[in-house]
Amino acid sequence: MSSGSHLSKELHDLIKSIGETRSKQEEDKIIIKEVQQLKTKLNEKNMPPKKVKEMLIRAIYIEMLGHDASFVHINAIHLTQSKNLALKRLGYLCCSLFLDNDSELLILLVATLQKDLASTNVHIVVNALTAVGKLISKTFVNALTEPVLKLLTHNTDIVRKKALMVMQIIRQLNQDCIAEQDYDDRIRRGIQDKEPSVMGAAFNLYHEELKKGAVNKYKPLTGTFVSMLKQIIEHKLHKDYDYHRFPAPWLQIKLLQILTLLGANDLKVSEQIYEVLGSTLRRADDTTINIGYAVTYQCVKCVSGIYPQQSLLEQAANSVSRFLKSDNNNLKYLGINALTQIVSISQKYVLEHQMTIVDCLESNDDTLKKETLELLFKMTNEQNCEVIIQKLIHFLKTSSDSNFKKDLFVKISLLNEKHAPTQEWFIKTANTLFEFGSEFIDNDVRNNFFKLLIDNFNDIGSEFGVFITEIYSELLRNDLQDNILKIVCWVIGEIGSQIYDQDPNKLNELTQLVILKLDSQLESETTISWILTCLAKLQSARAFQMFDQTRAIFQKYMQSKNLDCQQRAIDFYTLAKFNAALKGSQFITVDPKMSFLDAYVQQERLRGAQAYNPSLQVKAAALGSATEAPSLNFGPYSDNKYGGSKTNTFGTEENKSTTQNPSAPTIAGPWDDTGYNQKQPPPPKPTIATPMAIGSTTGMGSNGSGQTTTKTTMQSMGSGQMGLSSNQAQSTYVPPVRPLPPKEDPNLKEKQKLANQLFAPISQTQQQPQSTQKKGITAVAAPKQMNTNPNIPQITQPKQTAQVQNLLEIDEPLPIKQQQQPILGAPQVYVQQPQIITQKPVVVPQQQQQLWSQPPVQTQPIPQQQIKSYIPANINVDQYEQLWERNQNIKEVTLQSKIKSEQDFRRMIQTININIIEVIDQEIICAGANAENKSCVLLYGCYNLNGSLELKINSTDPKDAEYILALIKRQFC
Amino acid sequence: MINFILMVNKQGQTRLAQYFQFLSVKERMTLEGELIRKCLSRSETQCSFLEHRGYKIIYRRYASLYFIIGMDLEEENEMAYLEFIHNLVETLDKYFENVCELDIMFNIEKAHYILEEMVMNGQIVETNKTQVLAPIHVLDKAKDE
Repeated sequence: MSSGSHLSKELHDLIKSIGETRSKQEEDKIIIKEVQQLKTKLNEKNMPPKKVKEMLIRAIYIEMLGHDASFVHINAIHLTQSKNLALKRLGYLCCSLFLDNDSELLILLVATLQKDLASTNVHIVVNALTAVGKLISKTFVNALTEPVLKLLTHNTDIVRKKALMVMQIIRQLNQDCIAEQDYDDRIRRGIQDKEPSVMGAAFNLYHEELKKGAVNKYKPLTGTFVSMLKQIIEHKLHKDYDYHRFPAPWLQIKLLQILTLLGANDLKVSEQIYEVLGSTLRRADDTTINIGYAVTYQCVKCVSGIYPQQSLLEQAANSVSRFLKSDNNNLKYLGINALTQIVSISQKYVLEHQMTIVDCLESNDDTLKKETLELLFKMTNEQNCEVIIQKLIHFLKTSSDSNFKKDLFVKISLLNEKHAPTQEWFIKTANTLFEFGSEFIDNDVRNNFFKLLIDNFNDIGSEFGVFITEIYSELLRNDLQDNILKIVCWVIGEIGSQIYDQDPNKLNELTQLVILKLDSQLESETTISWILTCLAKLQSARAFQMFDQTRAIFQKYMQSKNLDCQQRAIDFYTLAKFNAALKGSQFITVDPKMSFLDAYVQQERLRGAQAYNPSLQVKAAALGSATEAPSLNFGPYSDNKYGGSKTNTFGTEENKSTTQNPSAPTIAGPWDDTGYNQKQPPPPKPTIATPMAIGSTTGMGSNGSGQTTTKTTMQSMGSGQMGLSSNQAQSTYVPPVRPLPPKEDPNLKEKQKLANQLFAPISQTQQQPQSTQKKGITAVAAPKQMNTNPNIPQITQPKQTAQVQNLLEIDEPLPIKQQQQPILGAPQVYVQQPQIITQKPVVVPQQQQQLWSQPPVQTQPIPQQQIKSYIPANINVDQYEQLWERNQNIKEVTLQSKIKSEQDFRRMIQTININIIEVIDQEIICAGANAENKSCVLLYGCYNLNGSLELKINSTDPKDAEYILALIKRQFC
Repeated sequence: MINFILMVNKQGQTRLAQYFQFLSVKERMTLEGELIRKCLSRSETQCSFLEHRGYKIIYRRYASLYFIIGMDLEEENEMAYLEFIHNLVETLDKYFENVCELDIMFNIEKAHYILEEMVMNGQIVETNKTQVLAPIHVLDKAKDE
C-alpha cells in the first residue's frame, strides 16, 4: 500500500522528497518552498474537495516538521462542514492537530459539533465525539455537555464508549457540569454495559475518580470489579480482545489498578481481592511474553498496595526474583521497581537480591541506576546510611542530568537529616552535598539547614557551636561558591559570634576572614548583603574590637547601587556606632528589684492604689506552662516552635522562682530576683544584652533569607546567652554512640563488600531489633514533662520532626513490636494479628516466625517487670476528642475475640482498669492513664456479635498500646 | 496519562506526532529533537524507559522508526505501554499490510485516525484491533462513494 498512488503527483512527490532528505536543512528547504506554494494556492477559488484535502495534509506536514501553517487553520474549520465523511474527519483531525484548546477559532466549531453530535448518522456522531474529545475547552464545555450525555444511551457501542470518555473530560474541565450522583450513575451503567469495550472505557473513569481520592464511595463495587477480572482471566471475553492469546491484558491492568486503590489499608475489601489476585498473578506468571510480565508487575504492585497477605507476598516476591534474574534490562527495571514496592512492607526480600542490586547500581543504564537509587533510598536505615549516602554523593558528583541531580540532592539531605550517625558526620555530609549541589540550594534548603543547626546548638550547647564554627571558619579560607559562602556567613555570624562572644582574638580572626571574602569574586550582590549581616552580628559580640574596619566597610557599601546592600550598610553603620559606644559603658549595674521605682510605688499606694499581688502572676504563669490543659496560654510560650528547649526552660525557671518565693516581685523575661539569669561560668558581671538583640533584629529584619531564619535569629540572639547556660545544666547531648566504621578502601571495588555494607544491616535488624535511640541530627526530643495530676492524661508535645520522620519511617529498623503506623499506605499492623489474614490460623505463628525472623509477639508471655497498671481518666467526650487529635501514636487492629457483647467489653475494660467515656451501639470509647508516668491512653473499640473486635489505641507512649493489646489478646482472644 | 505519541525515524525526522496536551510548534520541535537523540544514544541492551523533562518516556524501535510515548511520571506500568506500542504497530500492520515508514507518510491521516481510536484523553480506550479498524474502514468506503 506504500505506493501512495491514491495521492496527486504533487503531494506524492512532496512526501517522497521529504522521505528522501537526509538532513534537517534539506528538509527545511523543501518545507519553506512548500509554505510559499501553499500560500499562493490558497487564493484559488472553488477548489475541488480532493485538493482541499491534500492542502491540509501538506499543512500537517509543515507543522509537524516545525514550521508555521496557521494560514491554513481556517480551511480546516471549513472542511469540518463538509458532507463527505472522510473530509469531515480530516477537518476535525486538522483542527485538533493545529489548534490550541484556547484558540478563538474553536468557537466557530461549536455549532458544527453540536449539529454533528445530534446527527442520525452514527459515523458522523463518532467523528464528532472524537473531535470533541480533543478540542473541548472550558469556554464551551457547557454547550456540549447535554448532547454528549444524551449519547451515553446510544444504541451503538462505539458511541457509548466515546461519550463516556468525553464525559470524563467534561468533568475534568468543569465539575459543575455533571452532578456527582448523576456522574456516578452514568459510569456505573458504563461498567454494566454488555459491550466489553464500553466497560473498559468506564474503568478509566473509575480509576481517575479513585486516584482523586473518592475511595470509600466505590468500595461497595469491589465485588463487581473482582468478578469482572475473574471473567477476563477465564477467557470469557471475545477472542478479539486477546493480545498474543493473553486475555484483555490492558483491561486486567486497569482493574488491578482500581482494586489496589480500593483495597489499600482495608482488610475487608482486600479479603475480597486476594483470591482473584492470586489467580491473575499465577496465570500471568505462567507466560513468557512481555504483556504477561506487565500484568505480573501490576499484580505485584497490587499485592504490596492492598492490605498485605503473606502467601501472596511470597508469590509476588518469587515473580520479582524472576524479573531481577533476567538479563533483559526492561525486566530488571520492573524488578527493581517492584522490589521498591515490596520493601515498604518487608525488607527481608531485598537480601536475596543484594548482588543484583549492586550490579544495577553500577549498570551503564541510567534509567536502571535511577530506579535502583530510589530503592536504596527506601531501604536506608541507620546502619547502612553512610555507605548509601556515599554512593549517592558519588552520583551527584558524576551525573550531568540536572533533574536527576536535584532529585539526588533532596534525597541525600533527607537521608542525612534522618539517619546521620553523628553530628560531625551530618555537618560534613551537608557541606559536601552543598559543594556538589550548590545550584540546588534555595531559601527553603538554607532555612531548613539553619533551623537544624540552631536547634542543635540550642540543645547541645557550646560544644556543638565551637565545633561548627571551626568547620566553617576553615571553609572560609577556601574559594567558595556564593551559595555556600552565604551559609558560612550565617554560621559565623549567628553561632560564631555567640561562641566567641568574649574572645577578642577569635573574633578578630573570624572578622578578618569574612572581610577578605568581600574582595573575592562574588556572583551576586545579595552575597554581599549576607557578608555585611555577618559582620554586623560579629560586631555585636562583647569582645569585638575591629569597629574601625567594619565601619569603613559599611561606609563603603552605603554607596552601593543595590538597595538591599545599601540599606543594610546604613543600618549596620549606625549599629556599629552604638556598639562601640556601649563598650565604654560595659559595667552598668542593674538593679533587679527596680528600687528606683519604690518612691513612685509608695506615692501611688498612698493615693489608694492596691498593693501588688504576686499570686496573680503565679496563676498566669502556671496557666502558661500548663500546655497539657487545652486552654489559652497566658504565659510565655513554652512549646518549641522556633528554638530548642531553651524557651521551655525559660518559662519553667521563671515559674519556679515565683512559686518558691511568692512575695518576691516577678518580672517577665530573663530577670529574676538574683539579677540577669546567667549561669555561664565564669559568671561575668551583669551586663545589658540589648544591643545584641537590636543588632540581630535589625540585621535580619530586612534579610532576604526568609522568615524562619529571622525568628530563629531573633530568639537566639535576644536570649542566646540564657539558652546556652540553662541548657548546659540539663544537656540533652548524647555523645556519638557509634564510632565511624573503618573507611572504605577506595581501591577495593569488590562488589561483595559493598553489598555487605548495604545489606548486612538489614539482615542484622531482621534478627535483633535496634534500640530506639535516635542519633540523627533531628532527633532531639523535647524533655518529657511529667504530670502529677492523675485525672488529666498527659500529652507530650508533638515532636518537631514528626513529619520528616514519618516519610522515612519505612526504613526505620524499628523492632517490629513498635511498628504501629500504617506507612505509605502499607499497613504493618498485620504482623501482630496474622490469624485474620491467613486462611489457616493454626499454622500462623510458625509461618510468621519464618517470615519475619521475629518471635511472634502474641505468644510471648509478658515479663514480670513489664507489667503496667492503669488508672481511669475522668474526661468527657470533647476532651477525649481533643486528646485523640493530639496524640498520633494510633494502633489499629482487628481481632477475633471472645468479646461479643457490651458486658464482655466492659469486663475487658475493667481488667485494664481504665474507664468508659461513651457507648454508642457497639462502639465504645475509653480513657485512662498509665499509673506510673501518667501518660495518656485512649481506646476506641467496636465489637461485633461474631467476635470480631476492632480496636484503636492511641497512647502517648507506644509501649502502653503494645501492652494493652498484648493483655487483651492474652485474656480475651 | 499519555501526553504524546511520536514516530520519529533514525535521522530525527518526525513521521507522526500526536499530543494530548497542547505544545506550540516550537516546543514540539525541541522536545522531539531531544527525545530522538536520547533514544538513539541508548543501546539495545539498555531498558526502553527513561525520564525526560518530567515525562516518563517509553520507546520501541521498529527498523528505522522509533515509536515514543511520553507519559506522566506517576503512570505506573511501563511494560504495559511498551506492549501498547506493539499493539499499535500490529494494528497499523493489519490495516496497511506490512506497514513501513512510507505507508505512514503517504497515509498520515489514517495513522492519526487509528491512534485516535486507540487513545482518548491520554488513556488507552481500545486495544481490540477489529474495533479500532471498524470506523477507519467506514471512512475508506465513504471516500469511494
